[in-house]
Amino acid sequence: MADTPTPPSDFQWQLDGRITVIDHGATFCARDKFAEFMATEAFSVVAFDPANLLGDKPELDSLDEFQRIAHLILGSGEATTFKACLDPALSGTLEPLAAPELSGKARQGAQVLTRLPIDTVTLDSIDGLPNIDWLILDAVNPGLAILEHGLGKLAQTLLVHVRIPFMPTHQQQAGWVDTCQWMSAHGFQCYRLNEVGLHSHLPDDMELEKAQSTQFASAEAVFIPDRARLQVMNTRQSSRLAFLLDTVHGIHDLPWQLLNRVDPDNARRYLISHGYLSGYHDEADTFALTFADSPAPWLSVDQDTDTDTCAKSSTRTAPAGAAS
Amino acid sequence: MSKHNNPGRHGAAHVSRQASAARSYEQKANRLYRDEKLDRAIALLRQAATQSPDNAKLQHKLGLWLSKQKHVDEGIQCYRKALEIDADFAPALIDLAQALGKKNHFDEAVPLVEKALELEPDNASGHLVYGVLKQRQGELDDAVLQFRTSLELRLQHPPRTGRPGKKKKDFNQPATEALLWTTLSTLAKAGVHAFAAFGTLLGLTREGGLLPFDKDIDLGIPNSEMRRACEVLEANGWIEMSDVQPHMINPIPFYHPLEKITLDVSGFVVDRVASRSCEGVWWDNVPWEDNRITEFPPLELEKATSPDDQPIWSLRDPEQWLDVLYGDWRTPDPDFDTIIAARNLRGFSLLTQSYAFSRIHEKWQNGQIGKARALVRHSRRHLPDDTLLRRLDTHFEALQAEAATAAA
Repeated sequence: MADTPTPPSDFQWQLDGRITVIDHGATFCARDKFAEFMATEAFSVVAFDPANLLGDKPELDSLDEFQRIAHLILGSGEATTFKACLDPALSGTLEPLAAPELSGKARQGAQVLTRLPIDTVTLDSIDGLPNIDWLILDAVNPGLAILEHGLGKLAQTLLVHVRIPFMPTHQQQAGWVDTCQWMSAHGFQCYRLNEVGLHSHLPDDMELEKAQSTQFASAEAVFIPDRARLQVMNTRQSSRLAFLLDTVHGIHDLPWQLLNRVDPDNARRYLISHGYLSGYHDEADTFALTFADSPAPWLSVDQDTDTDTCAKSSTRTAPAGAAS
Repeated sequence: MSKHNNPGRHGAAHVSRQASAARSYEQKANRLYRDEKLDRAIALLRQAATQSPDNAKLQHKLGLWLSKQKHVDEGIQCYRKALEIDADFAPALIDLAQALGKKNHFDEAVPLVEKALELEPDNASGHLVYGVLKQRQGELDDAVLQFRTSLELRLQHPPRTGRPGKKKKDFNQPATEALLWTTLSTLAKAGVHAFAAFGTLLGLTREGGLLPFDKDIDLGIPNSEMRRACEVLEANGWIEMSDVQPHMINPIPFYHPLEKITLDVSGFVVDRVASRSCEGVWWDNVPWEDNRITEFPPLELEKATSPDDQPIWSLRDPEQWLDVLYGDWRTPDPDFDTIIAARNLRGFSLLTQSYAFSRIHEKWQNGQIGKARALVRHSRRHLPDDTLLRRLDTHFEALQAEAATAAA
């Protein structure tokens, strides 16, 4: 226990610079909550968006530390062909499977509307990015090729999300086994599967009273550094991985372990701030509310004490959400 | 020519039979309504409305009863039907405006009540609803004016005083107290300095438990801890109800759907100019000086334990706190309304006035003359020269005397 009781609100992330993210396919940036993530001012994001998934989100372009790349993708560095499909989510450089091999929804969406030449760049050759903290890969571009050409950068990468197609939609997609083997051979372990998409074998041309979907169609595999890498991770990396797991996934157990290596007191405050530990017994026996704790919103913090409150506040309105 | 204008011999007989049936259904529905069998009353009134589809009054009444049963959207549909039948039917205009106002649809509600008041400038209910809409929009000068106009009109044509409403049902006091202690302890363990306040503190201090019939729990917390408190409460079964009054930023209301208990969490701040801790009812669309602010001595809490030995925070000097808020808190006063009568109000702000005048109206309407008069008398402490309040005081005094004579 710390000598000086510390209120739980004193827990602070110590990140030492923004988290660098590459979102290949822009699937993460296309989410509604993306703006909330960016509002934390903790991320610096490069989104490769050849399918224009962010086309209806022009507001993103004005975000600080956000860059959208539309006419270039990651790969081996050689030019390739982009297949623009009816469903933009299925557009990529991999060739969609023939219609008979696809399930109902994908069958129509995978129809190629046009083929466009596109340049690729290797992960390791991206200028201006000394390291990548978090890499997100979709399933419509050659993920393993991207990884193979990014070994240098990946050595320091903390989090990798790979969309795994359990029911393939494109030719030469990297499957679950191939991806896990590659990741395992290069210092990563699979932590868990997220966003599992399920396929239903029930008919889609009948008005069913209820639904059932039972077969894995796809999932997002979450990879973190393997045990050996975790053990030798420095303070900065531990803090950043803890932050990513907490902020992106709402995971608290491993972040505590990572933080505990860096600063046990801060890790304890982390547990208190998330309700795993009570901070009550760490506090003094009395509590006095001060102006610094909770200033009257009709006074500015630096206001002189002899200022007439009412005169000052006569034109002010209470800020929205001031109390929430 | 329409069927209604010239129904023909057989048609006329049919219409007459329908009208007669509608009257029978309505009469029976009225009896059920008086006996407070609302669901059955509504079912019969629907039958009446079906038999008499061009009767705006029936649709309006159905809307009122449905709204009373919390079927607000269906009630709105009935008001709209009434207005399709008779676009100048003022009661339907007013009640539709009121229902839409509760859903914060002010753009539609305000023109409706304005039209009603053009048609019937002396409609007291219209001015009351207009006042409520203005209040919720933060236009407090107008709100107070409308409430006062409504009361003036009622004084000119005093309504038949309604029967006092049903006594509040008793509540499961042990379960509510258990929830109070659990909630206080959960907040304390999560680092939130929450303490029993207002009616909850009064009950615990004076009665050793929650006040009878007081189903609300009142907690105070440092305003800076409000966000955390909301997170903790929501993670422990409480639902934040801020959407009911989206402009109200303090207190934050919660509801526990399992225990059916409401909780008001009031944020406290420090006004170092006044050397006071303050809380109140604050709306974000109202200038600060027009909000309702109360002033307390500096807020000091100490660690304590609940009856079931859970760690909690409590006020160091609850009696001093109650003195400041209630004055003589040791003597029970069932007519005390803290919003208006608190001893530590910072002035008698426009928001407080709008609460006062609208609540006088409400209590009068409900036949709670004692409560209405108490509100008047507390308001007169702040506005001693107000002639409307003086006349209301006199009127209510006479009503109380009449009631006392009748009882004797």
